[in-house]
Amino acid sequence: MVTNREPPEDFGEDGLEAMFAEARAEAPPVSSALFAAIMADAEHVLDGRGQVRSPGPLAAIWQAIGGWPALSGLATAAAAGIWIGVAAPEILEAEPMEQAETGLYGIEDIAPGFADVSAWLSEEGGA
Amino acid sequence: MGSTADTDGDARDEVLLRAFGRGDRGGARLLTQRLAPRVLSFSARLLGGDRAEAEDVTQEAMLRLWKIAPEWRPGEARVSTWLFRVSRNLCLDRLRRRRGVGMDEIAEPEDDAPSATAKMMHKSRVSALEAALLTLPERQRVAVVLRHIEGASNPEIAEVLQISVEAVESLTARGKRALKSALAGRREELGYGDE
Repeated sequence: MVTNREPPEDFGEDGLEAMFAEARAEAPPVSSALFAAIMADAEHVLDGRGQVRSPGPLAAIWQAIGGWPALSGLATAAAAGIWIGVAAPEILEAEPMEQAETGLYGIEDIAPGFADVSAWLSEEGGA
Repeated sequence: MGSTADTDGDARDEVLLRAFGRGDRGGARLLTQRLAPRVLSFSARLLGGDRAEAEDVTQEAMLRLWKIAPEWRPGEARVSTWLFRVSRNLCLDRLRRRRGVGMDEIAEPEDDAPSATAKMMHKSRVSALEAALLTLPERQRVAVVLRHIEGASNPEIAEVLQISVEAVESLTARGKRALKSALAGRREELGYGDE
């Protein structure tokens, strides 16, 4: 039971202002390590600008189809298609392809899974 | 106290940020020199003087600034108040995670330099203020720290807290009253007895 307890002394406006002043003087400096880390982040953000800047409509479509890597894959596929179409459509027949395997590259090097297709074609032809 | 609305500084911050958004690395350096100390100081006050956590918050807040730079809309907000707002949210997250840590665990000044009495007293006062600030409701703490320690103007604080200037005045007044109450009876101990 607490009785006759004196109220705590008022801290006072002047005391509080003095403490604020001391706190202002105590402001922690930014260390060189922190400064370097912040600048490294800034560099990183600039380097990855494509992910930071919001893409425009054309850029969004471009990114949706995969950007430059997708375009190079598409170009390779197109060139291969033209080559197959112009040079030798009969190459897709099983027998010449089997002969081609006597060369430096086997057909499986060029078209993995061809053996399965070839076997299926042979079976279908024989049926 | 430097509570003036730093209009020139605000405009310069925005120019630098937009320059960075266009790829100017120099903008980042100048902005860091100008704003990181304020963010660090503000965060340290909100986190009860935890320097390591305040540095993490500062780095994260600045990173968010770099990321938003290309989309920064001129005149919509001050860069400094935007940073204070982000820092405040980051500090809040950390304080929530830290919930349950008692006042006893807040770092006390070291007691290994008896000859440096004045320095010790200064540290004691700063620690006492940081501990008392932690007893305030979060919005009062933000308002008092920004107004009386970081020197922000009431309109700036209103931007940070997204409330009216009148509400800021009320918050800071209640915050100061609560601080005096938290520190009541410690005037002598903190060396203000004969002032």
